[in-house]
Amino acid sequence: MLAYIIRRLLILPVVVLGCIILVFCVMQLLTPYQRLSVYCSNPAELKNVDFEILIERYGLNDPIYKQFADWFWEVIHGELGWSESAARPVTGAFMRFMPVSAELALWSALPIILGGIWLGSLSAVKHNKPLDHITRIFAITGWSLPTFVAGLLGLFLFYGILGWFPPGQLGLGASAIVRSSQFVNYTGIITLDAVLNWNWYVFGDALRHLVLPVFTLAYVSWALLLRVTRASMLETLRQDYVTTARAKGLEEKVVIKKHALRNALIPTITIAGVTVAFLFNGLVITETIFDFHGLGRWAARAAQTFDLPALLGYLLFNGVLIVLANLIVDVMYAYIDPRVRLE
Amino acid sequence: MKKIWLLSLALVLVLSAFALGQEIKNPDTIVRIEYGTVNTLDPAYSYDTASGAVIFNVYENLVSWPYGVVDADTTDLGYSLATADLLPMLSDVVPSVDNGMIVSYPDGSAAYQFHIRKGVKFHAGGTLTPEDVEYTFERAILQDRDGGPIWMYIEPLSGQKYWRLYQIVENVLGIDTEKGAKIKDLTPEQQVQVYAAIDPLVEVTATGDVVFHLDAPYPPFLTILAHSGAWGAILDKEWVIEQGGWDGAADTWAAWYNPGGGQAAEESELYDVANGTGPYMLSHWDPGVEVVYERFDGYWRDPAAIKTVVNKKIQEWSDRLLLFGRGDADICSVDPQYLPQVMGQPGIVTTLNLPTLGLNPAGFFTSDLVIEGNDLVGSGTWGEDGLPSEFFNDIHARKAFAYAFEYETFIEDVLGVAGGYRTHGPVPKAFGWAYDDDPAIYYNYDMEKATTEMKLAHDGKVWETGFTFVLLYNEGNQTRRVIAEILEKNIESMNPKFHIDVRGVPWASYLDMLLSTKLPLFVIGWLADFPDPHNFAVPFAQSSGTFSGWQGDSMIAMFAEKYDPLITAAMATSVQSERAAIYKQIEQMSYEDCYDIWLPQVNGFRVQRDWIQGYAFNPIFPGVYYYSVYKAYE
Repeated sequence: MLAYIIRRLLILPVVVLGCIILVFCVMQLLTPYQRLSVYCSNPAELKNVDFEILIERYGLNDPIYKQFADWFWEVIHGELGWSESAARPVTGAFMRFMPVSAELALWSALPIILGGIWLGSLSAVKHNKPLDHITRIFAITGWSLPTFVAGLLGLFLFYGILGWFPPGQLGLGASAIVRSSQFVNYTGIITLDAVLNWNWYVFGDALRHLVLPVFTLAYVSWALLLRVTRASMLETLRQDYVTTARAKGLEEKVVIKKHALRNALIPTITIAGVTVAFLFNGLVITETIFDFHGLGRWAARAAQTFDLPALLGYLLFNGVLIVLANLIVDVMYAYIDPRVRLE
Repeated sequence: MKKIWLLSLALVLVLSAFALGQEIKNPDTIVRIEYGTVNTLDPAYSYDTASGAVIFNVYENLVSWPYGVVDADTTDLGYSLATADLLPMLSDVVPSVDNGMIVSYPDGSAAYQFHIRKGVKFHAGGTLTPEDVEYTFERAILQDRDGGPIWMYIEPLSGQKYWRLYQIVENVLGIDTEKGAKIKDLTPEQQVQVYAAIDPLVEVTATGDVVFHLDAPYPPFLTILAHSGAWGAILDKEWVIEQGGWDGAADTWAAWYNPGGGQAAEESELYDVANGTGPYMLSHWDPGVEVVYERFDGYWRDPAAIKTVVNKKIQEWSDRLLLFGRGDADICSVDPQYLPQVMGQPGIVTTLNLPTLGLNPAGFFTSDLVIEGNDLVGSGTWGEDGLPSEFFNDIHARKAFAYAFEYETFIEDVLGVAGGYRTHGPVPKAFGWAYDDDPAIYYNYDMEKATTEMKLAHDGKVWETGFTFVLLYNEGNQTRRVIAEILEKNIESMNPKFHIDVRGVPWASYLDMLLSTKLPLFVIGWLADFPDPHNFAVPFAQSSGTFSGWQGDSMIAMFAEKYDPLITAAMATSVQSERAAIYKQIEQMSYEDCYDIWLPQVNGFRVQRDWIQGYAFNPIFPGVYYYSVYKAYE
């Protein structure tokens, strides 16, 4: 197993390098002026920006291999550059926005995965019964509803009318506490920091702000997990060993939980792993609608403005994340299904 | 069961509505929601309104502008943009010729003397001294970052000979700095030589006053220093040095020159720290997320009424609308197209028809166009399938386009409830003293005249052969799209051989085409740095102007020959009537030469909660001045 993990980790730099080279190639399709546009979003700056000097300074007319080598040299020296779209260094932007996306991902992952599996197995067990139909309709409506529609509807109802769940990460009072010197920001993940600071007011306020985005994310994501779990569960329930288990006189609960569900979960885990990885690399629409300043929003803005250092930094992170997520999924296979051996 | 649910829901709705009532939310805090990004807190680096708005509240300048108040009960436009009306701030006297603090010498040079207010404290505890003022300006000039605002000092202080530090360096040392690239390599001796030329520009006198020496008259000089421009914010010398800033020595400054090449704001030591003398202290800045200020109780005037100010950046309009509608925000940035959604809402006050200070948008003709690699002009030659390089070199072609724009319809149908007004350029209407009211120098929508002009263009060649070109606008800017579409519709209706294709592209591509002189006609805008016609005449009508400089060789030659001498002449005198006469002449010529289409301008407006009082108004302000704002029902 260890050898397998090491082998997979060795692939990581190759994957990341592949992504980066691809972006470098695509960026060559832009003219140097286009690539400099990120530095001149304000027409007044046209007055005394000498674009020819900037092109030379950033080596934008250099051959692609030289541009790549220059960038790589900076990266191995720990310099990811300046992100104009975030008005801070790439590493600083990353440290600021990653915990926000991570918080959203951590809180959403549990309801999405557990809810999806629960709804899927419920649907399969109650196959073709009213509960099956209701569950499926519920999930499919969520899937058909674009995130921004679901999110906005939720905001209008639960904040605009009821005033319960406001947008943003924290209210005024809790923000003031988090900014104060008494509150230590250990991780940047507010709920976690609130627990570590033993501040339940901040914890409660952060949770209150998480309810709507988490529910919206869960609602629009459940359908996929539900369908996969349901199909897989239905197939498993028809297997001989399940019939045998029932014939042995085992309780239905035990048959489903111990014998069927565990095997039915194998395809679900792949989907769940990828879903969680996507949650971590940022959710443009959810973050925008609920005013969470996370990775997704930053990356989208960076892409819109051709903020190359930001995009490359984001890709580095993303490559690592996806490779690690897949590795974790593989390890989970081995844990859940004893027949799978990682060699 | 169902009834209980419905009842509970109704109860909750009623309670929520009741809770909003007349109660003022967060009485000791002002929450402003907006969409601008603050780039830096370094006053000498900042050149955008979002950063300027923060510096505006934390730092102070030598002199300040009188302002009016626009709030729920009052619309008092008692502001002024006139130099004569400037008020003391960190200088306790506003220099003038009458009080002897502005002296003009026979050789044309001038001295502006400031008496620095005593007993003013910086937020970090330091006391304001004349040396702080001298250091502030010397640091700004020696830092002169690419794309920054410091040309506004170098130009007047050098008698309009230079506008970048590297030009001074090259002149003093007789070397080629490659536009500043080699300044960091200067030896300590060379740095001392350059500093010897900079040092006398701003000096502390034996009596403790600060004097600026201008090599030639520069009438708007005081307005550049005034409290609205971040570049005039006064720093605490010792504190800046503690932050790692320039140590004030003559032989070290080059290390602080052009931080980050002007493109990485964090390289400046004051990027994320602030210590001014203003009514609010910076408490917290999270770039792209929020800025929080706390009241400065040691302020030299009465402390501000409100304890905390929170500026939150919220990109999504629906979020801003909800937060504002529920009273969780007090002041909200609203795009004109969303005004109908907030107007008339309970608890929200909208004030329309406020003056503005800019020419945004304006349309620019380019000639000669770069044809090579230009896919906007088809064949690039005479014919129905292309546009030749010199097309807009003919005044009739330009006039035909100016007559073909529906100005009044644009104001009524496009600018919507915000409304707008006609103006011509390059002097905006806000400068009444220099604005020519002559109704004859406006182009009005008139398709007959447009057709007549087009038939005259290039001796009838245009009418005979026709043309095709692409009219670009930058995506996301709906106003510019509509402007392009109006021209497309009307020009094409004249002659079936005329073809215009309107196309939206990202800002990056737009900028690329602009800088390559490939846009036959471009629409862009300018907001005032300081309130003087000079700040508009240069970008619009000078041969090296920010926009006019991109209008192609033929247009640039025309600007150089006809406009440059006038723009220089308008700065050579401090007599306002003489300056006004020159600017009016420029406006008349601009009408005759028709080098731009002067498009209608949208009116200013304010949107705030009804409990916001004392909201200062002056169109030159970069943002909200929180010092005067308080929350109450009156």
